[in-house]
Amino acid sequence: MLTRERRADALVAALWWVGAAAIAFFVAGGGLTTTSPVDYINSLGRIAGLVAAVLVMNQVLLISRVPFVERTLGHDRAAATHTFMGKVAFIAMLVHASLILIMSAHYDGRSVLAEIPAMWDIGWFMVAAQAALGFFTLVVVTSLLIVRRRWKYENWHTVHLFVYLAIMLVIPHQFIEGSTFRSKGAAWWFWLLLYVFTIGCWLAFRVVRPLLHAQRFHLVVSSVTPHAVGSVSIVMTGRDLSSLGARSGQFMLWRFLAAGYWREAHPFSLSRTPGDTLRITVKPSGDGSGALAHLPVGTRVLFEGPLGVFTSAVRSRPGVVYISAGIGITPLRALLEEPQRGPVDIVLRAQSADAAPLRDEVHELAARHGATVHEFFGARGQGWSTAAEPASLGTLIDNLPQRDVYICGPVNWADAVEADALAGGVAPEAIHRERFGWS
Amino acid sequence: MRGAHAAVIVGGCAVIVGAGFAAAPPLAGGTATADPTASAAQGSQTFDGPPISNLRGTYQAQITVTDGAVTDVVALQAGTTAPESVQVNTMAIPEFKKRVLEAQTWDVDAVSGASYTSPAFLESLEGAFEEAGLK
Repeated sequence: MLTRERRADALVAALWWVGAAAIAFFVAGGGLTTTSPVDYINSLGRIAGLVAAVLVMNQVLLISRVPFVERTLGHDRAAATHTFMGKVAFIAMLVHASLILIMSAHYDGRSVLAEIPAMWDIGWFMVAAQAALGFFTLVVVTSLLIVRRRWKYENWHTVHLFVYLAIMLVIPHQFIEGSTFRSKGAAWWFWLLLYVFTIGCWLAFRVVRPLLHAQRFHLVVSSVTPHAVGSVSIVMTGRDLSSLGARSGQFMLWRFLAAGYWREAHPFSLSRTPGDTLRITVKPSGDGSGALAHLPVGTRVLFEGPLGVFTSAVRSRPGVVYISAGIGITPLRALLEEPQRGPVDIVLRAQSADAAPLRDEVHELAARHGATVHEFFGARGQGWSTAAEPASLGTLIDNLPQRDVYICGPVNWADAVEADALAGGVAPEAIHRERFGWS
Repeated sequence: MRGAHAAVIVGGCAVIVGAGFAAAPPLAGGTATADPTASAAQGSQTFDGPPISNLRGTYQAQITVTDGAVTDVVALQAGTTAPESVQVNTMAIPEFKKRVLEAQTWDVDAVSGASYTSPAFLESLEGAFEEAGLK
């Protein structure tokens, strides 16, 4: 039985191999048939286009929430792989468009600039393809700007919707103009299956399943409780929620169907063990989560998930350390509700005792398990701890190498914890992080 | 660990693309145009259609007529030297030859996957049939 890490590696490798298969079909179909060496530049341009097409489909699959991806890769690695493939795909698209443009200009005896409008004569699908390249460029540039300048999640989300438009615009030229797609041989089936499978997964798990689940579970907001320093707990009830299969430590994407909220879906962890009700606890950050304190009771909820592999199923060591910063406590609070085995340590990090959401609940659960709670409240220091009280997990926790370490908090902080844990002798596969990012 | 993962990905890609090369036709490019002098048999006559140009190059058909029957169809010109053009026409022209010899008319179905070759080549074929007095 392969470890999850191995299966995740295998899945990522397989996604790249699909790209290689596209090149192989191209070559096998006589794609390198040339009459002069300069033709190889044209072939290279076509290969770049095929690779870009496969990688974009891989990206769609990675964020389709299809269970085999969510379970094998986990939401965070799926999102990271999605981002990396997106960068490679965009470079491949630029190479494809420029080489094909230059070589078509060469074959037709036109200047490169004159070739751009000349391509419109080939058909509407070439106009669409050029427009798609423009949209992809827009999305990549603005995504980079948004991440760099720390703009709001909502902006990033809106910009990303243009990708779906770009994909719709770019597909026709691949099937109508691309000669790779023309023959009805194995290559044709390869591409057809790739598109049908990928888009099918996306539709099934991003559109159809949330709607079916909304119908079946009939999730409704039943209470909205503000806490000190702005965080708010939202409890939802529905029909037969226990059959949802959600576990402590998982998160879901929530879309509240009330005026001013329904446009965006937000990822929030369950903040207690899911049963007949689901609870999330949210700290104000973007527009969406800030206003949730005013969410009307009775609001219908659409959801995707449960998502993530930050559960007790990934335990591999006799003991455990739960370490969180700020609102990152929510999935750990839910995990603490489950039966524990071995020694349990909880490390809480926050600006102040008041700013640590659900702190009283954590203490109560810790007492039930006989767990030790270590609290570090105050301004940020060099490492993961406070400036006033630098700490290291190796000295704080007994027998650290025999523990699983669950980390939830902001990325930079979690990086510092992970480095400290590794330095303290924790094996990489015993470190579990939840990075529900933007995807 | 990460290095090994990358090596597996790259190695697998190399094997898969290698398989593509193994299955590929010989890389020395075939050309779509035929040698017009070789095709005319004894006691038969050749007729050239007009050259028809479109976005994808120029197409010109030549038919060989023996005792009032069309016995050969070749392309004097077909498309350009662009690899895709060569690829499409290498497939399409023999298909047209087959269809014309069977039906003994220029008015045959277009070849799918050859959207530019088909109308231009058929138009030139029509001219060649007219030239031969077969239309």
